[in-house]
Amino acid sequence: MRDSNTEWERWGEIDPLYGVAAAKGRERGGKNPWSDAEFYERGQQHWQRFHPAWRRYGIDCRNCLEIGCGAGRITAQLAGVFAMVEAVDVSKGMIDYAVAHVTAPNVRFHLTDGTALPLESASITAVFSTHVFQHFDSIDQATLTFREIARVLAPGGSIMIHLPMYRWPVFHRAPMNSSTVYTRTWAPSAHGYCVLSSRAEWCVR
Amino acid sequence: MVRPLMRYLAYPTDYIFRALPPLGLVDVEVCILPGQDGGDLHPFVMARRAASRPFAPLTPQAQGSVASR
Repeated sequence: MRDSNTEWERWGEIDPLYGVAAAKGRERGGKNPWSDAEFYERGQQHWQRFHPAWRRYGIDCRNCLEIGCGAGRITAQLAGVFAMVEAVDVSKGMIDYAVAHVTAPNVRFHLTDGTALPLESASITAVFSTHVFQHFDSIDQATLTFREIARVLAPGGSIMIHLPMYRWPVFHRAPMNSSTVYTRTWAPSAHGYCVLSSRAEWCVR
Repeated sequence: MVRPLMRYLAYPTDYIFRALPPLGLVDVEVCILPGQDGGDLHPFVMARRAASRPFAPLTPQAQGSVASR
C-alpha cells in the first residue's frame, strides 16, 4: 500500500469535499465548510474551462476513464459529455460519497488499489484526471499509471491529465530535450491558454 | 482531529515528452489553463494513443452533450 493511498483513504473518511478542494476555511467545522451544492457547482465551473481545450485537441466521446474521481466533482460533468464514464479512486470514502451524490446512470465507480485499472485493454476512448498526479508518492508511480492508461486507451483515443510542472519556460523559445520540441509561452488569460507541443508546428489557441 | 498529509509532487516539464512516447502516446502537448480567478495556472498533458490510421473526424453527435445523445 502506498503512503499516498493511505492518506487519500483517510481524507475520504474524515472530509471528502475538503480533501478534494482544500481551501482555507472550507473544511468540516471550518468557518465556511463546503456544501454539496457549492462543491459540485465548482466542478461545473472548472469543467467549463477544461472541456473547450480538450475538444480543440480532439475527443472521442464514446467513453471516458476518470483517474482519481474523488467525491465526483468532475465526474458529474463528464457524465454530461461522454456516453459512459468509468470513474476510479483508491478511497472507499470518496467513492461512497460520489455514489451518493452523482446519480447519472452512465457512470460506473470502481474502487482500485491505484496500480491496475479494472478495464480491458484498448477499451477506453478518453482519459481525464485533475489534481491527482500531484498527490502521488513519486514520478515512478506516475509512469506506472501512464503505462496503465496507455494500455486501456484505444488507438486514436486522447488523454487530458493535470500534471503540476516545474522548470516550465516562460516568455522564451528554447530547445527542450530534443530538436523537435520547442517552447513558446505567454501569459495565459481568462480567454486563452498556451501550449507546449512535441509537434513540428506550433498552435496558438 | 489529526489530518492526514496532503502531499504535492511536481514534475519536470520534459518528463512527459520523455516518458509518454515510449508508451505509444503521441502528439504530446502541455496545455496551460488559467485558474478560477485567472491566478493559478493549471498545466494539463494532452496526448493520444497512436492510431494505425488517422483519427476519424468527430461527428456532431460524438462531440455533443447529453442533450444530443
